[in-house]
Amino acid sequence: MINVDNQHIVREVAQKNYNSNIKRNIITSLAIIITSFLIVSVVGIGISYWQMISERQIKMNGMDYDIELTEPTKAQVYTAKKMELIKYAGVSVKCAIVNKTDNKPTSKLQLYWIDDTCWNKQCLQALDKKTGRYPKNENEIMLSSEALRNIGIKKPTVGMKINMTYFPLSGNYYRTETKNTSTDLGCIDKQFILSGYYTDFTGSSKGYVSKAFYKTTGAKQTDFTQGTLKISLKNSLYSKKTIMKIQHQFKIHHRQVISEDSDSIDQFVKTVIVLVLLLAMIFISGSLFIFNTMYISVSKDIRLLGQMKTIGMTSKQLKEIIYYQAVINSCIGIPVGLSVGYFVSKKLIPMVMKMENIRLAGSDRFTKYPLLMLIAALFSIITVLFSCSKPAKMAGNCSPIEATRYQNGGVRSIKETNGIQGMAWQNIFRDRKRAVIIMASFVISIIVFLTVNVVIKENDSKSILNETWKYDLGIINEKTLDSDEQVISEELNKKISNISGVDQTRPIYSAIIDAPYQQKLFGNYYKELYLSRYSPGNYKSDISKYEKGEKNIKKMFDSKIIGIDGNELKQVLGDSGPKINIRKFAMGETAIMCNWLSLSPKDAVNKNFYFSTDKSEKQNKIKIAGIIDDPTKFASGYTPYIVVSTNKFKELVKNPVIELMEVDYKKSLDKKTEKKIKEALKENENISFESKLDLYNDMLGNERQIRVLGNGVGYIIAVLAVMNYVNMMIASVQNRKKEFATLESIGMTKKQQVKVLIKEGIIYAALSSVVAFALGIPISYVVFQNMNIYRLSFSVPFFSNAVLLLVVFMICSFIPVLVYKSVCSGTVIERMQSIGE
Amino acid sequence: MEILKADNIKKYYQTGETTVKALDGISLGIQSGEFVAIVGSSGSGKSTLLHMLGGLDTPTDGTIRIEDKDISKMSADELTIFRRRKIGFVFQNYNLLPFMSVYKNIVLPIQLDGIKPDKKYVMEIIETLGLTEKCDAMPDQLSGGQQQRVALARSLATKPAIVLADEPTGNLDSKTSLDVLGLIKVVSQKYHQTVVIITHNDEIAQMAGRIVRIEDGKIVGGI
Repeated sequence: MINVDNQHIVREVAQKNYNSNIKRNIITSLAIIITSFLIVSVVGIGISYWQMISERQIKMNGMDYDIELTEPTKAQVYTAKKMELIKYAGVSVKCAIVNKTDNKPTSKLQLYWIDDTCWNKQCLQALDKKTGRYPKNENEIMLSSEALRNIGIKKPTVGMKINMTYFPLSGNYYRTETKNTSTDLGCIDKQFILSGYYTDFTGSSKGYVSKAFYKTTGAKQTDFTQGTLKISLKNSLYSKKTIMKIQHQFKIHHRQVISEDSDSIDQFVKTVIVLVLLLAMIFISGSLFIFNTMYISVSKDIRLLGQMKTIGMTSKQLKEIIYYQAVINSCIGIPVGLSVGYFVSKKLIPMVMKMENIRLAGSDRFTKYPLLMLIAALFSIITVLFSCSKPAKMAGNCSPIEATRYQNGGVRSIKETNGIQGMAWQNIFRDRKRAVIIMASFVISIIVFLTVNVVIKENDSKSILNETWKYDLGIINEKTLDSDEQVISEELNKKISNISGVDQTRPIYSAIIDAPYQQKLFGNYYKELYLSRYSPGNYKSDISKYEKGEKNIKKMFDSKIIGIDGNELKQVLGDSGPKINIRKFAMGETAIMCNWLSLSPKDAVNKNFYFSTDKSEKQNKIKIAGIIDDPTKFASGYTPYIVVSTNKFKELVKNPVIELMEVDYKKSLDKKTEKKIKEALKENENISFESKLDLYNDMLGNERQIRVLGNGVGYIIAVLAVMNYVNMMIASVQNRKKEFATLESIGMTKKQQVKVLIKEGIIYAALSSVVAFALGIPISYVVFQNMNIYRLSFSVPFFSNAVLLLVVFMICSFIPVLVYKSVCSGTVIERMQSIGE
Repeated sequence: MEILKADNIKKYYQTGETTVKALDGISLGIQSGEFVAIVGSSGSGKSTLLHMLGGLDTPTDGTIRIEDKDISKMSADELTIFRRRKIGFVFQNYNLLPFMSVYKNIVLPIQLDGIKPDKKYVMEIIETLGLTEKCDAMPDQLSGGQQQRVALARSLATKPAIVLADEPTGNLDSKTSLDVLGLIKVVSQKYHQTVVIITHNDEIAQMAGRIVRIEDGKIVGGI
């Protein structure tokens, strides 16, 4: 066979064909641009967004570590530092509690000493802002923003002096931290110098002190519940086996425990599955988009290619023509898409952040753009080549006459229908495969948008705070442990309730009660208590003394009665709480017991609890209806507490004292209302606040970054879904240009054609929406649940979904019309005679 | 009664600096029920003339009146509606909609008018054109001659004032061409249907009642 050099002529034909179909090739290039852009921008911004979320989680935890060992000995610390599996091991010891600042009561401000490893490797990355340095000198202190707020310092400066009264936690504090005992410990007045202050997202009132100060307190790292060894593992995805191995090497004694998050691997796997699912959907959406556009484009050429075959072009040469054009489109589309994607995620988003005055450009965090761009480029080119492989094969294989007769768009007839409505329906499904591809692409885009929106909503600080905080503002009676003073009076309650913007106040009353030994109710519980690491002493001797009613031991087993109103009852029961008879509770016939350790409903429910109030001899009895978590702030003795209705409480307790008042605002996180309340309470020195708004303000900077990145991803996906649809419609209308002209020639007006297109669009929108929502809501639910680390409740975002639906319908109905108007210009005969495009 | 009257129609195209005169002042009148053939060589302007008469294209100058209505002054949509009701078209390449059955193709112009097809009349045409067996077939299942008969049936279904056929036998073999032409003549007579046909085939033209010859955009004989 003679080797004929005909490459240049094949190229020339391909190039000429490319140039003569420029509009079509622009559409194809646009599809490639959009897909490359989609991958680079969404993945790039998405990863930055995810990093921000993870960082916020660390900041909400207050420290970055995997597991902790309680009460570590020096030998154990040494072992940890040598251990192969462990990356860092830092010691933290709670050594003192401040109860007064400038002689005013201070809500439990806990002072910690942490070692260098803990501070540098585990703590610093969990701080959102830091001014100054860790205390070095004995009188230096570093405070959290919540602590500063608590002690009333609005504008802290490094070096400022703060007078505090603290009690050192020397010895076994745990056993003595009960009512009327904390102040019995020797309190010490001291002037501290603020060496620094910081903000994290824990909302806890905390301070750090120097090693020198820690030594003076007498607290030891081995003291029960005070000292912990924070351990960061080399592999954060640890198994039970790893923990067992570490535990074995530590040789831990009976009271020590290693606390771990047993869900960490599960959570990681779940998150990975979800992210892979999202990524897969983004990739599928992109590939369908390219596939459809390429398929239409090459199919349109088949007739022409058949003609070429009739004049002697081989199948191989025809394929070369197809691939040549596809490669040109890729050479234009991929670099443009990648550049735009890089520009948007690396330049535009940081620019938006700068304009919004957001510190720390979040998108700078993701740096592996070259790799991402390579993946996106490879993906696009593979999809392009795959998309033209089938039509190329068809063109190469079919006979010249078949090719010249090739009818793009199929000839299926659906059942006979009348009028425009039927025509629209018929048009959509005459090429079922293409309809499925267009719809699948659109549906996936909508699903991705729905799912990403749910993830963004789930990770919105407001959602997290609204779910994890029971109230907007907690007003705490700091005198609860010391006296029966009415710090939060009924008048004050009324005054706050009457402030505009306050939705409701929920006063929670409490009083210490005597509880005699009750074998039937608490037998199992006491056994478990003494077996636990919180065991107060010797079971046999203590319980026998308790049974006999020995005063000291009996006091240790004090309980507490808590009075709550109907609104608080709804709060504590929630959706997952015990099902109790509300009427009986309100009438004072039943009570609810607060859970501690593993008090079982089987042991407690429907049994009577005996107690006496106000140190009287009169014994009361009440039936237990269920078990809930303790809604109050201060602790009493070892016997579980009971919750009764406010009326019952007032009937039983002579001087009812409000321990905590929960306030809900009409509008969550309402600054004005909070300001008014704090203004009304500013003279009251014996109260402290727990404010959701304060914590939200601390998180705001981080939140804005997260929001810009999250919304960035959401908007890009939305815009791309629209562009995807627009491009497909342009291709579709372009494809049917001649058909529209034929219809016009036999009497179908442009108005009627537009009507058909609108109906087609509405059918597309309706079908896409039904499928997208039917699949999207369950998918977004699964994604939500798998990422639900804050245990938020799922809700379908109705408003944004309604907006999305509206936009989908508007796009689907108007875009084809606009495309039609731009494509179908010129006289009927011109359009009927047009070839190629 | 004169059903179509074209007066001094001109169609000029500008290609670069040259003005192409596709039609150069054609005047023509067609009586109701007439079967007229317009003949001319390739590029003579006969197809352009037919497109002008059917409102598929607009003349640069001149007026066209069908049933006394000036179609050159109509808007695009008015013209389409007029075409739907008053003009039947038969194209050389049939222009059937490939995704609709034969019957559906035939009744589509009637349905586009929002009215129910006169089934009796449509079936009569279908029968006359020998398509009864093919009603449910798709266009790609038909031969060229059958497809052209469907196109003819479609053009007649709306009982138009005039049927315009643009080289209706151009894609057919000689036997089929004569069959189709025969059918056009039959329906023209049976329904007293005015038909204007374009052809470059003299033999076919001879079947018409009147022949109009056109060359270089001008009528050169046979008025």
